[in-house]
Amino acid sequence: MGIQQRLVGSYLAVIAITVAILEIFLIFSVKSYYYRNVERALVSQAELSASFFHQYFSAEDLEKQTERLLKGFSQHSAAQVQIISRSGQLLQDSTGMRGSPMMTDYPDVQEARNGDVGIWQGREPSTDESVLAVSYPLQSVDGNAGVVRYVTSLTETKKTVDRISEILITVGIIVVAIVTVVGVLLSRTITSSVSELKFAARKMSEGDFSARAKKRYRDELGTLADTLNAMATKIQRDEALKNDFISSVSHELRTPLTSIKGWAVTLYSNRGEDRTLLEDGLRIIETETDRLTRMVDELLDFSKWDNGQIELYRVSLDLSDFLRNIGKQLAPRAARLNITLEVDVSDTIPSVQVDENRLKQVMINLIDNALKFTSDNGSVKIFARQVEGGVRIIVEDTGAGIASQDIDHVFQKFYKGNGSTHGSGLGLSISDQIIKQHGGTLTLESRIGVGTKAIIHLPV
Amino acid sequence: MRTISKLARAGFLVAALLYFSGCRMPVTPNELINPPTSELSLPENKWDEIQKLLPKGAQLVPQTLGQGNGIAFGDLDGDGIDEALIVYKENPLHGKTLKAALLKQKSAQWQIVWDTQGFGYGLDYSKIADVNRDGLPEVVLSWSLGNAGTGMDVYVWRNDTLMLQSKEEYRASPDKATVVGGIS
Repeated sequence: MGIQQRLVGSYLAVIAITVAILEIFLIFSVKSYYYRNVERALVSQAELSASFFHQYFSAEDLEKQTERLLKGFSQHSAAQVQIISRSGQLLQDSTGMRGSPMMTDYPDVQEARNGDVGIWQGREPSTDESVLAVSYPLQSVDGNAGVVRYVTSLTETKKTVDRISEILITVGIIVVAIVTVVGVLLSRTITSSVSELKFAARKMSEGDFSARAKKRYRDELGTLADTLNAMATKIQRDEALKNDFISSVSHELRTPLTSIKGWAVTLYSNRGEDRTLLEDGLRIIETETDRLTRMVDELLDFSKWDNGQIELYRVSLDLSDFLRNIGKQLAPRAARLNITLEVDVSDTIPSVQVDENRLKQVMINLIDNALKFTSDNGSVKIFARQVEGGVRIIVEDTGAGIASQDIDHVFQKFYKGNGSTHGSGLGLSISDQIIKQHGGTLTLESRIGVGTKAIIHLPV
Repeated sequence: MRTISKLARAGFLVAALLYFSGCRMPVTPNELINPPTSELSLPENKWDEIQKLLPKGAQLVPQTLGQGNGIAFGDLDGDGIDEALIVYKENPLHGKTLKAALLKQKSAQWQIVWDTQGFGYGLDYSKIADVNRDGLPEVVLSWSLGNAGTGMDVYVWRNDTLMLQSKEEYRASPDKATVVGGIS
């Protein structure tokens, strides 16, 4: 069942129950109002007649004055008026005498003969008509003289009540109908948003991430549409990054491979005759193979990080020795590039519990980046200081810097500042992961044309 | 919004139920018909004063015989100041009982000194007159049950109040009224 059917269904159920309860209550009230008013009118008329008789006419014999009394009793009442003797015999009837039948079968007459007020609602046996009868005892000086009885047909009352009920029920049905229509219209505002979301989601699931859900209202569904759209945008961007990555990695892998292949062919055709050429060729092949290995290692590493399979082997590490060694290791490259590489570490710096190989990987990556983006006569400095709660290692260069719009993305996997730069785009992302795993942070501060500062904070 | 309207409806229902179950049946439209309060008029502005003494919403009952408007004047106690006999119908909202009251002027203020309940459909006539020809005026209230006849109550002034002297069925013209019955 769709949301619209359920919404309209619940609207309908609520309103139908409400209307039904109101209708039942109203019809019951109207019915009781009518019946009780009819009864009350008869009772007050009968009471008035009986009390007047008791006050003024009780001295005379009832049977002798019935005709006159009937005229008075029935003067202000449309009801049938009967005067019944003490023995229960009908003496006078405002609708005309029909013999003198005994009235003792009627419950109201029986009660009135006992001196009480008798009220009876039922069916007149002779005509099978629904009637209401009120009997009052006519009291004389020496007790009960007879009974005055007011009888009304309830046919008209019943008809009136039925008519009002019909109107009420019709109004109720109209109300339910209007609410249904309004419900359908209102539910559309919800269901149309949902259908649009569903449509967009289906397109996305089919692989079309350019599809966007339309946001109609600023409600939960609107937020859902926004979320869905943000997700699609992110997937699209990741997809583009991945494509870039694959093409750049292919390119990166291809360059050393081409070089290796070229040297292999050259050396093969030379057959070892030129010894210098052989040595050069083999050295280049070795370097290029190393490059390839490193690249493949990075990729493997990264997929491990991504799957959370990396474990750290922490040892106590003396940072000053560690950083100086790295400095020495990279000094020849810096010299070749004509860049000053400085290591400034105080001896008092405490040792830290880290995975030495992983931290080395991070440092080499950062220094490598710094060297890569720093031009001739520039400098790269490595500081290490003790700070509150840990140590801080800073790699500062006087390189090109990173544009502010890029700085948020550099830790993203596959992200590269601009398309032409070499590398997999994974280095910083992996470094960030490693430092995070150590419980530290890696942040970048950079200004275009001035340089970049990479700050590692490690807890002791 | 739906919740509010549902609550309102529930509240109305409960209020209606309480009204109908807790109170008596509402009055019928017929009983609701009564004249605006300003309409009542009486010569010499006495009515304003008198009306304050009667129950709220009371209406004068005009007599069916002759020109009377439900008020009769006469000196019952012989002090030279007229007493007023008023026949009225109680507020229709509180049952349509006929009532008669005797008002006496004490230091220029009207006061109800006596009242009684009436019978029948209405007032045939009311007067303060010496009907039994004993030299003292009596209060005569004649109630009508339409064609069935009239009932006449005669009250005499005794011990600063009215005492019922006779209660009779009466069919002849009031002018020739003779009360046969003795003191009851």
